[in-house]
Parts: sequence; structure tokens; C-alpha cells
Amino acid sequence: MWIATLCLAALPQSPHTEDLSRAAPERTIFWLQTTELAPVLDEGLDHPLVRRVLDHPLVREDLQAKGQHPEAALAFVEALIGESPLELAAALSRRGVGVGLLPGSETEPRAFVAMRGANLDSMEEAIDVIAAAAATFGGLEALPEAARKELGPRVRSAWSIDDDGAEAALSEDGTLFLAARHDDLREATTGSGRAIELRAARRALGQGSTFAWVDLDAFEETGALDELRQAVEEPATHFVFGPVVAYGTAAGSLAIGVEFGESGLTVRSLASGEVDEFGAATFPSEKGSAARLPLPSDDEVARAVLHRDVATLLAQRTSLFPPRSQPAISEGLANFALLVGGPDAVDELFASLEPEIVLLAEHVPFEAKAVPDIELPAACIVARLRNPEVNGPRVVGAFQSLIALQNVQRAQEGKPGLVLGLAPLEGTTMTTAHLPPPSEGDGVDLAYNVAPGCAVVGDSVVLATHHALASRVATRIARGETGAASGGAVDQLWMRADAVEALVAENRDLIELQSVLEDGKTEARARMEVDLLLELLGSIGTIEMTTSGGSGSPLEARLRIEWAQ
Amino acid sequence: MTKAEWDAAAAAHVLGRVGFGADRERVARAVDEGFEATLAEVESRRAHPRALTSKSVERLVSLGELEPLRARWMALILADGAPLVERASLMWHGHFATSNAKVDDVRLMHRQNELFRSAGLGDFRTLLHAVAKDPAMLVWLDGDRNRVGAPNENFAREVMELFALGVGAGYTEQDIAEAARAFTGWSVTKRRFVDRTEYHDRGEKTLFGRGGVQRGEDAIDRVLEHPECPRWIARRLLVTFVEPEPNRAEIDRWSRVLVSEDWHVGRTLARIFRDERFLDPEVRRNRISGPVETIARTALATGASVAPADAARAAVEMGQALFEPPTVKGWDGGRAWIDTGTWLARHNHLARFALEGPFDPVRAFGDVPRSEIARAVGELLLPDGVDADLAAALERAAREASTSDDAARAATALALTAPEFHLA
Amino acid sequence: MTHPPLSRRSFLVGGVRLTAIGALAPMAVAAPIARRAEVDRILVVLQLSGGNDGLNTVVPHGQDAYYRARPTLAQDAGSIHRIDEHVGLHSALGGLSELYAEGSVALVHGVGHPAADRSHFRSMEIWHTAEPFAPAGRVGWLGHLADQLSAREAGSLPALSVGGSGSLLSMRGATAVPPAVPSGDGFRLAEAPAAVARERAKLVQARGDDGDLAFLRAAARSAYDAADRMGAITRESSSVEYPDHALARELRLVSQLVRGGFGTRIFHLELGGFDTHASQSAVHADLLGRLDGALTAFQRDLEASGDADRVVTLVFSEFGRRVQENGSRGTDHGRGNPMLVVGSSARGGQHGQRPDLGALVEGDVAATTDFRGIYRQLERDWMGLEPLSASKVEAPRVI
Repeated sequence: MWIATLCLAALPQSPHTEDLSRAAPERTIFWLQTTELAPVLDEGLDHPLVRRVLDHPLVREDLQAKGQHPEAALAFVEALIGESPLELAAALSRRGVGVGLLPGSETEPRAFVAMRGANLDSMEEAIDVIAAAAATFGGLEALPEAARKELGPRVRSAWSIDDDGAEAALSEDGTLFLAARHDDLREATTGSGRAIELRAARRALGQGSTFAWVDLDAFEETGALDELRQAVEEPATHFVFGPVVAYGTAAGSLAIGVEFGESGLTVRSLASGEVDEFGAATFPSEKGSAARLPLPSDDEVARAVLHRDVATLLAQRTSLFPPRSQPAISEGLANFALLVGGPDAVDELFASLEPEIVLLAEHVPFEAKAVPDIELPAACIVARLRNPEVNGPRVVGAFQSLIALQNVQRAQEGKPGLVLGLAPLEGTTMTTAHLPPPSEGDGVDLAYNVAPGCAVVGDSVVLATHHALASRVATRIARGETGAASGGAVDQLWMRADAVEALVAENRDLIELQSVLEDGKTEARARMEVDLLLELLGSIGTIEMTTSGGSGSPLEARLRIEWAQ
Repeated sequence: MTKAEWDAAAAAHVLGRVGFGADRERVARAVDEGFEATLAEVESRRAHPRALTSKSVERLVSLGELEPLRARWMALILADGAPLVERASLMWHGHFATSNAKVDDVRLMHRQNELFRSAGLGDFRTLLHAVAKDPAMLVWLDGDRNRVGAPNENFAREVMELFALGVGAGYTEQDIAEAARAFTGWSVTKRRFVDRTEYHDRGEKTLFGRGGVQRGEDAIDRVLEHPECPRWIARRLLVTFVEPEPNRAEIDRWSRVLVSEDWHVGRTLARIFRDERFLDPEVRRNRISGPVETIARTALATGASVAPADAARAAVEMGQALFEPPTVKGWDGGRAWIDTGTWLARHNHLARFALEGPFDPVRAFGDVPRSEIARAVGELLLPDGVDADLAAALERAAREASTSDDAARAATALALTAPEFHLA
Repeated sequence: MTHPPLSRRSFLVGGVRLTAIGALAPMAVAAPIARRAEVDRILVVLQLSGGNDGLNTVVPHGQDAYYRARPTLAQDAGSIHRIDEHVGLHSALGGLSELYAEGSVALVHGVGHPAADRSHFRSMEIWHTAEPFAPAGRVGWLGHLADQLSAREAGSLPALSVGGSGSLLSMRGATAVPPAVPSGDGFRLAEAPAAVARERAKLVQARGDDGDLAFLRAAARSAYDAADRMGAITRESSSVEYPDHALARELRLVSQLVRGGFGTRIFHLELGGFDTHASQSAVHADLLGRLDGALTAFQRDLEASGDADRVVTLVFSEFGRRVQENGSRGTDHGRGNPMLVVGSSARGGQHGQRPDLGALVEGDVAATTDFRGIYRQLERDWMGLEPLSASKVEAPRVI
């Protein structure tokens, strides 16, 4: 096997596609490599992003408080070694830098570093500078010949770094390896099975400039992932986060690739491992089963199309979820049965539910008398039913019963009940509920954001936290103003950063006040932090998240951030 | 006031009694500026940070949660923008002790709190009338359940027993029943006071042996005319600002001042502060300081920026949950502040504050040489002086630390958890 | 207390089964119990907040009216733990039903007070102050006991609220308010450098000052001492396995403090969440399961350490719930409710009148036993102290 690795490694590669991951030692449990560092180091503190960060009042305040002065620190090091430390670092990482973690002896993991310069000459030059600086502390000591030979024919020089066994080696392709142990170094320079695994993962991701990989199984042994590992057994993970996330938490390893581009940033993550047959049934069975999606409006904040096969999840519940979860599910179903008119009705209703569910968030106009002090966008869920004439009324009935139930509770607490209403809508009727108008002159509580509406239009159930949105969406569906979501994905989620930015901007006084009260920040500091958040959101156009996989293909989550135009 | 008596200890006393305390530089400036200038400044400071009084506070209240409300009050106290206003608000909160445990509506609690803030230093008669119609109070003492034919005496009883006259001070059970009849019909609808005349008992009521009382307002006026009323209020002011157990002569003297100042709380306090007794060493550090006060003066003396929400939570652990006083009597105060649980809460909060919290020794004491740290800690936190044992203990704690930062922290932890610090 | 109290040891020697003493009960009616010296006896009060549904706790399976009134909530007669042909315990109360069979549970039916009030706040106030008529007293019945104990031994910790807040009205005395112990963990002292800890210990020693300063020094001293002792006591593990939830942790702490001789005689604990207006069945079963698991483990723990005869646990709730279930598969605030007194010194069995669902008061189970009559037995006969309420209402004997 390792001969194959050597052969692969020996193949000539262009500087940009050349893969540092082949340097990973055998027991690597975490790996991170990037070629993005050198360009930043080249410009040093004058890099526009670095400059912007350092000049930010928040950062300046922090650095000042800690008594740190980056410029002075760099100048100090430069005086010491006779060369700019940033330039030196850039030279060392011209073709990339990789960092690995290996299980350490005790609690601390062992680190491993690989740096690749432009070529052997430039690396040797840089190492000479370091060696000269190190001379004042005793210098670098070359490894004995026998030890160096163990590192394979491609290693030109090797040094012992400290008394604890750390070593460094320079290979003929201009890669500098730093390892805490001789064995790690040998595996890195002569090849390991782990390196092959990593390269395969990296290829699957499509060779972005930055790549990370984590061995979840290894971390599981440390107990650090207990909660994550239990998530796949939690019904909530499946119903809320969907099948890809649920089974992703059970993956053996996770590979992550980041691609920076002019127009945006893409992060892809691939999970290894298989989904069992019960779980597989909760993924979309055929690709391209497109959901009907109401067309977006200007008030839109976010939208999502999610694959939640509720009927299958419930039908398979005894296989999918552990016994401890069963009573809660049964209780939930029994309660729901009370709302829709019996257990049979529940079964029929869920069986008729299309697994593609659409979620929307939009700004809605509130009635002048009941504009909440903290105005939140309304959220709407759209689901399609296979047998709407029977199941539609069941949903509406359940909605009405739920409101009635709320009112029983509210009455016990001495609070006014929600007012139920009916409104005609595109040939159907929408059921609405709202709190009685707030008293004049008072502020309007957060609760006034909830004034739900529910309607069945054709085969679509529309349920929204605010009836204005329910009505808007139902109208669009009734008039056929719909498009189709692109197929192939399990879940898709879009978010408009400017809408989130507007939300933060509208509520910034409250966000700042909370950070003054909760974190003890000064008003000025809280204001700067919100400014920074707004600046960040302002630089983003849209955020899109997609998950895919199942039925044979690997589980993938993809995040795409488009910069603002 | 002779100049000799006006020293750092006296200045710290004024700044810590009228307000919640002050840092090293403020105390030093007060010593320079003199008693009257110092007092006038702390009495009249009315500069709450804008963020804590702006419209966003209404939005904070609209979240419907008690914790942010508590944190906001704590923030007003810690910001030290209007110290006397907040001291008075805290006093009236304890006096009219309304708890959200029953009211269950933070908006009403907030409104009552703002009432204390705006009217707490004005005419007590106006305040009592306003509190009687305050929706939180009406819910708290069942005013909203008090109807003709089915009177609820809860509010009428407490007006006499706790708010205006004092336990058994010149009234009878019959007076309570009559007053309750006068208050019938006062209720709350949609968070507003309403006078539901259909539930009002229209018969004439006799209070303290005199007829002529019809409505709730008449009953309040009659209670305010009772000779015990100014005494009870004067007593409350003295207990809060001067001494835990004022004698009868002092109470009488100040009740006359209260009446002569037209029941104006702020003006009466101004005279109390300028009275000879206020600076008497006998009344300094003569009371066990309450949790909110302890937390605030620790933060203000050291100049540390404490997160208000953390401070409010610490106060809850120490036994003072703002907006949730334990009974209609409010917090008993004094020795009732201290039990095993609350002492450990004080100790743990203050020790952590000094050893690992937001406390910054350089900000608190300036750049003092290590050998001077123990002395500086004593001067700042226990300005009336420390006895030889405590001074030696501070020295030892500072000396055994490894760095001067550690030394200052150790000595501060020791000073803050010393029983002496909890007298203020 | 005319009989000389028998020493604790005399009953442990020879491993005499302590509940056998119950046979002596008839003799003890006139003169209150003398099984353990009163100064050794401990009262644990467990408050079920929100209004526990008594009819689904002690199920009247013998009455058809119960099944008619509760079409969805009624407990199946086959799944409950039958006590007799009339009543049985909820299916989640397996441990308590065993304790009942062993004679360690006194079950009092229809407990309440004459001035029923459906407000949680008011109703709790009445239970806490043992005063149904006059408004809001300021001294609670347990606080009153603590006052008397404190008067005997200043600086002691006669009562503790475990896990809850320190501001419970029932625990407020005229002079002392018993402290609250943080849940499970007990009193703990924040870490400090050795020099600070050493100097702190010296500073709180009595130094001849008086007034508040002396008081503070003494209070601090006993607080540090309590933290030390509690730390040492809680390092000892229990032989009995407790479930993993807050109430169980709190009761384990109580058992450790009892066993370790901490000196506290009154413990107050709370289990909330009983205000089940809607979809109550799973929630209520879960709460009863917690109660059962924690209380059974506690009792077994006390039995194992030989302390079972000196501890009684009173379990109460501010009111029961209406007989008729509401439209949302829950129940609304009611009146009379069963009360439990658990311990090997309790007079095991049923007491008072079983609820008669054919004779309801405004749709509620009638309150046929005044809770003050039970309090009185615990205050006077068990703890040997003066009761708070002067009313000498009658109630069946439970200890």
C-alpha cells in the first residue's frame, strides 16, 4: 500500500494542485492545510484585510488593553533574526502549509506541521536564516546519519529541535516537516495509509485552496463527542435538522474544503459512513422531486425547502429511535390525535403529507395598534397533502383546537384569550387568531409577533406565525405564482444577508442594551460590536446552505456565501 | 462642620450613604472640595446613561422577562448616574414591597419601578396616592378583588400596617374594614387603573372615629392626616439613611421636619444629611449592608465594571431578588440579611470578584508599590480604619502572593470577605 | 412528654425491626410517640407545587364516577398498584406502594382547608402559614419551629431549604429565616489562595467586639463551619442508588446530612410542575415517577443506615384538581387532596374519609381533613414544639 503512496507522491504536480495532505502521519486525527497563507503574509500588515482588522477600533482597544503592539513585535523579531519574520514565513509556506494533530500521550494532542516553499533553494535559504538566529540559543543539530536515512531517500537534511524528541526534515521538493516525534516524521516523509485516505477525501471535495479533515471516531474515544454521537438517536435531530445532519453526526470522519473566490466563499463538507436501511428510507428516494415554491417577494428574509419524511420517520420509529424516546413520541402523537380527531386521522394525515416542506420568513405589516416593540419577520410553513379534501379540514381543525387549548391555559393564568377569526381568501377560508389589541399608550409585547393564520389552498397547507404572511403565500399559490426548487438536494436554505442586516439594524438599540446588561460592556463598545456585525453582514449578499446525499451517495453539506454586489 | 472632621472616612461615608459609594479618586476630590460641595453633587446628580432610560428600555420590557428588568435596575445603580434617586427607589421598593411572584407581569413591575424613580424624592402624599392606584399594587394586594358586599381587606390593612402608620399604630380592625369599603371598586383592566363604580360601596365610612370618608382617595387622605403617618415615614428615612434603630425623639424631630417641608422626601433628606448626627462616627458603619448595596459599593469603590445581569443574579443568591421581595413586609434587613447560605453567597461572590473577576487592582488602587498594597486596600475598602489584626492579616495575605497583582487580589479578597466590610 | 424518651441505640441493638414498634402504637396515643428522643427527630417537607392531581395519584378505582369524569385521564384499574377494593396508587408509584405495604406510608384522604381558594399564590400562603382566614401571615409553620429550635441553640442550623429559593413563606420565622442549600451540591466555599483561607479563618474568630460585628463574625464562622462539615459529610457515599434528577439529588443530600449528624432537623424540598391544565397524563406520570424514585430511594437509604424511625416526610400540594377533566385532557384547580406521611414512624395505612365522587363540593373532592390537624401532630407530637396555629382542629393520627 505505501509503495502506491510513494508513486502517487512522486508524480509531478502543479504548485496549486500539489497536495500537502500526503504528509499526514499515520495516526493523524485532525488535519488542516491551506495555500491561502503566503499571499496574505506577502503583504503582511499592509494586506487590506489585515489592515482593516488591525485598524478596527474594537481590535485596537483590545490590543491596547493587553499591551500588545503587532508592529513593534514584528520589528523586534526582525531585529533579532535580521529579516522580516512575515517574509520568512511567506517563503516557507509559498506552496502551502499543513497542520496535523495526533493523539498525544496524555490530554494534549501531538502537533505536526508541514510547510512547502517555492522550491528547494528558497527553503534552504530560509532555513539558513532560522539556523543563524537559532545559533544564539545553541543552534540546530543535524540528525545522525542512521536516523536521517530512516526518513527515506527524498529527505535532504534533518535536525533535532529539542530534547523532547522534536525533529525537522527538509525534503527535496522543498517541504519542511516539523514533528514532535521521530516516528511521525518518518511516516510523513515515507508515506502513510492516513495520507492516502486524506487525499481521496480531498479529491472528492474538488481541490479547494483550504482543506480540513477530522477523524470523528478517534475523537469519540476521548468522550468529547458524546452529545454529538447521541444526536442521531434523538427524534428532534431528524425532524428539525433532517436526515443528512442526523446521519452526519454518526460519520466516521468529516472532510471539509473551502474555496475562496471573487464572488464568494464555498465550504463543502463530506461525511464518511453508511446510512442503514431504515435511515435510508427517510432520504429522498429519487432525485429531482421538486417542491412547488411560492415565488419570493421583496419582503423575504429567508426560505428553505426541506425533505422531512414525517410519515416514514413515524412508521419506522421503533427501528430509528431508542426505547427511551418512544414514550415522548407516542405522547406527542396522542396529543396530536386529540387535535385532528383520533389516531386513524393522524396516520392518514401524515401518510398523505408530501415530504418536501417549504419554509419562508418575510417581513409583514402589523396592524397599527399592535406593532410589536420588537418586530420580527413572520415565518410560514407550506406542506402539500395528497388527499386535501379529507386532510385539509383536519389540519384547519387541529389549528383551531390548538388555539382553543391555548385559551384554556391563558384563562387559567388570568390572561386574555386569543381571538379566532375567519377570512375569505381566493375561494377558500383562512382561520386566524390574534391577541386582543394592547392597551393604548403601553408598549406592545413580543407576543404580538404571533397572530397566526392557517389555510388550505388546493393541495397546499399554509400555516404562518402571522396571518398576513399566510394570506400572502396562500394567494401566490392559488394564483399559480410558484416556481420549482432545484432537485438533487435534501435540504436547501437561502438567506438574504441584507434582510438580516436590516433586522439587526432595527433592533440594534436592544442588542446593544442587552450586551451592556448581560456582558457588562460599555455603551461605546456595544455599539462598535454591532457596527462590526453590520459591516460583516453588509459585505455578504446571500447565504445558501444545501445538504445532499443518501441512497448510495455520500452525505454532503454545502455552504455558499455570496459577497454583496 | 469643622475642617478637621472632614477626612477621607467622612467623605466615603457621605458618598456611600447618599449614594452607593465611590472610587479612590472621587473620595480624594471630595476631601478637597469639602462636605457641602460633595453632598450637593451626589444629591443632585441626575444623569442616568441614556441607553438605560431610552425607548429601548420599553422594548426590553416587552420581552416579558424579569431578568432583563432586574439587570437594568442594577445597571442604573452601577452606572452611578443618579445615586440618590436609585437609593430612594430601592427604599420605596422595600417599603411598598410588591412582588412579581404574584403580579406576574413585568410591565406592571417596571411601571411601579419607574414611579418610584420619578416620584420617590417628591411629596410622599402624592407618592402614596399614586401607589394606591398603581396596577401592580392593586394586583399584589388584591385590590382588584375588593368589591362591595365582598370586601378584601388586604390593601387597606397594609396601608395602615406597613405603608403609612406602622403595626398597631393608632388604628383598629374596624378602621381597616371601613377603609377596605372605601377602596371597593378600584381595579385593573388592561393594565390600567380603573374605578369600577358599580363595585363601589356607596355607604359612608368612618375612619379613626370620624365620618365623611366616601372614596378611596378620601381614605388615603385620612390616613395621611393621622399623626402616626409622618412618624412612620420619618422612621423609614432614618432607618434607610442614618441608623437602624432611631429613637423616639429622633423620629419625632424628623417627622416635624417632614411636615414642615410639606412632605417633600428629597428636601427632608437634604436636611437629614446636613444634620450633625449624619456624620457622627456612631452612625457610620452601623448597619449590615444589603446585597444590592454590597455589590454596588464593591464595584463603585474599585471602579470595576461588573456585568449588571451578573450583579443582579449575585444579589438573588445573597437574598435580595429585586422585584421579588419575600413578603409584603419587604426585606427585613439588618441581621436578617445574613445566614449560612447568604453569607457563603456573599463570600463566594466577593472572593471570586477579587481573585478572578473583573476587578483590576491598578484601576482600584493606582500604581502602588507592593509594600503599600495592604495599606491601600484597607484605606479604600475600610476607610474608617482597620484594627491591628485585620491590618496584619492583609499584610500577610499580600506578602505571600507571588506577584503584585496577586498580592492586591489576595488582600482585596480578604478585605471584602472580612465581617467588617459588611457593615456600611 | 411525660414518658422518658427511649434512646436511639436501644432499638438498633439486636436488629429489631423498627416498624414493629408500630404495634405499640395504641399505647402511645395518649402520650405522644417516644420511639426516638425528640431531639433526634427530623421532619422533611416535600411540596408538590402547582396543585397535584390527587385523584390520579391515589386512584379511586372502585368508583364508576371516576371513570365517567375522566374519559381520557382515568388510570386503568389493571395498571395501578391496588391498595384495596376502593383505591390504588398511580402506576408510576411502585416504590411507594411497596413502602405502603410495609406500613411506612400514612395516606390521608381529602386534606384541605375550610377556606378553599383556587389561586396558587393564596392557597400556598394558607398552607405555609397555617392560617386560612386572615390575610398573609408573615411567619410560616416551619419557620416557627425553626425559631423555637434556634432559641434553644443559637447559631445552629435547625432548618434548611434544599435546592429551592430562600424566600419560601413556610420557612420564614419571626427571628430566623432558614438558609437555602444549593441543589445537590450543598454549601461550598469558593477557592482561594492558602494565605487568604488561613487569614480568613483567623479573622472570623470571636474578638471581643459586640453588636453587629460580633454577629457577623459568628455568622461567618458558622457558615464556614457548615461548609466544611457539609463537605466532609457529602463525601460519604450512600449504599442506595438514587435516580438521576434534581429531587433525588436533593433527597440524597438530606440523607447524607441526617446520617452524618449535621444537626438540621427540618428540611424543605420542592417538586414543581404539577399545574397540569392540558395534556397532563405523560407529564403527571413523569412527575410521580420522579417523586416515587427519589422518595423510595431516600426511605431505603434511611432504613439501611438505621435512621428510618427518626425521619418522617410529609408530602403535600396546595390543592387537588377538579374531578371532571377539562377539554384539553388536563385538569383545573380543585380542593381536597391526599397527603402522604412517609417513614417507619408513620402510622401506615389509610386515614380520613375516602373521596366520595357522589358527594362533591362544587365539582371538587371535599376537604374532609383540615391540614392544620396534621401539622399539629408533626409540630407538637413529632418535633416536640409549639404549633404555629392556635386552632386545635381534629385530624386522624398519622404518627
